[in-house]
Amino acid sequence: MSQSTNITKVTSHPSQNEQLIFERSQHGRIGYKLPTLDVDETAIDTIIPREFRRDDDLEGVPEVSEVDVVRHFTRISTWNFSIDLGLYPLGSCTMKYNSRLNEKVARIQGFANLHPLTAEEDAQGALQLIYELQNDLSAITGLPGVSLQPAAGAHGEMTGVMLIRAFIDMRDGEGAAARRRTMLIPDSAHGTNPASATLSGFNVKTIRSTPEGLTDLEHLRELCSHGDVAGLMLTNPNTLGLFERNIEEICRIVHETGGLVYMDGANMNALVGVARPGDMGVDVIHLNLHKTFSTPHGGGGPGCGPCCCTAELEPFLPTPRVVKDGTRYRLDASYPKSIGRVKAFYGNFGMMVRALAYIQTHGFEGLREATEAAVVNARYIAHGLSSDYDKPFDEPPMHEVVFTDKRQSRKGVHTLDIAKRLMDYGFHPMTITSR
Amino acid sequence: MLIEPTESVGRQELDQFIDAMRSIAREAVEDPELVLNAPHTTRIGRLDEAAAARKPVLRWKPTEAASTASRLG
Repeated sequence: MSQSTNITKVTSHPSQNEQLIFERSQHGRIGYKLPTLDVDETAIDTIIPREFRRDDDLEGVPEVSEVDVVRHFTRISTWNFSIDLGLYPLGSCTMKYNSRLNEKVARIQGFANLHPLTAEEDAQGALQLIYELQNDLSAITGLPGVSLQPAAGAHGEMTGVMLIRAFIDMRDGEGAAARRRTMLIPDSAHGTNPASATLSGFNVKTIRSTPEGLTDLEHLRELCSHGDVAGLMLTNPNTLGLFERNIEEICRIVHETGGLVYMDGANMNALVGVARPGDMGVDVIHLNLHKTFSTPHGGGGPGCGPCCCTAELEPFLPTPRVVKDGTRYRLDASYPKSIGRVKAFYGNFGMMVRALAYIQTHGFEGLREATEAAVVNARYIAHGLSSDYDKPFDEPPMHEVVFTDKRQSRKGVHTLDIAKRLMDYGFHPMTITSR
Repeated sequence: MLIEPTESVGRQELDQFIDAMRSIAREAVEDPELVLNAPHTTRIGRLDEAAAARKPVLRWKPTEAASTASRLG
């Protein structure tokens, strides 16, 4: 421990020798007391047949009291690092702090306890909320069609790719569409991109990045010269934190060969309120409400990955869709070209409530300011660390910045070691992509 | 290393983060072992991530209780 005394820890991690809940078990200990039975006892065999009952006396299930459980989990919860504790600079994860107000709104009884089978006439407020959020996301992305059904980023991604496939199948007819099954993905893309494309029946071809860290236009043109390209999946800003400044040219090349452009909205935190993918030539995009638009994430909890698209792709969006008739809102399933339902009911509604609260409390100007602050903060770090760490790309970063361990590795210190050491200073490690 | 601070970090905390990273860069030159063996202040130090991925222990069993307890010390 002497090695840790000369540094300042920003936050502290309690260090307790906590047993497993199983090891805290005491035979016969219970956390409840039932009242005396005041009705006739029913034989258990008449309720649950013997073959469905276990007979090992629940061996291994911990026998603990309520306070044992509360203290155990409260203690181990203090070992967790969260955004409420300190800086959580995981790249491409947008671990932003979200106002407690959004949580308060999401817990309003009428929203939180709304049953998914509630009749439309009794759920007008919820449907209106969905409708208004769709309109806001449409305004933010510059794309008219919106579905809030997908329940995660990769789910929205796959929905977007399925829209491309449905559109091409209809446009080209079965025979021709079967020959157009190539999806182009840059080598800097998120791993979920090739997974979504493959799962939707496409063959993935990788586009090289230039030494500047941007999509290689010459390689893109070459790959688009065979007439088999269905689309391109592009993250912008890309996963190196760089804005693809040739985005309009990229979209033009893909469109000229008959393909469509899907944009991964993982990094929309660098664009919201400043630039619209629809204006860049993008045909379909997914957003992560659970990172860009409030909702704490990072624990694999519920997400919402809306899919926004052009008017051309809109008929293929998942159903049911929330529409407005006069002053009433309703769920509409009458879209014959739709790819169908991608999620039970209408997705994760709680995320939608938080997102609308986030958008409305910020307002358009506020969203723009947040985006600018995200970019300025990343550039501040880029500047502050460039004399000590190798920064492989000269271009000013957007909302996130890449460094390598080139200088430190001369002494045998690699990225993983730097990330681990950061924990001693009380910060969550950054995203690492190498040892 | 991909670093995304987001908009919800103030100037002071950005400076603390930069100071920490610069301090680690100095340690990497002056005392590489300190960085190579990090973290030092967490309950459990450097984990064998390859073993955790290849031989995961996913279930506690009563018969293994004694050996688990002795392993955790």
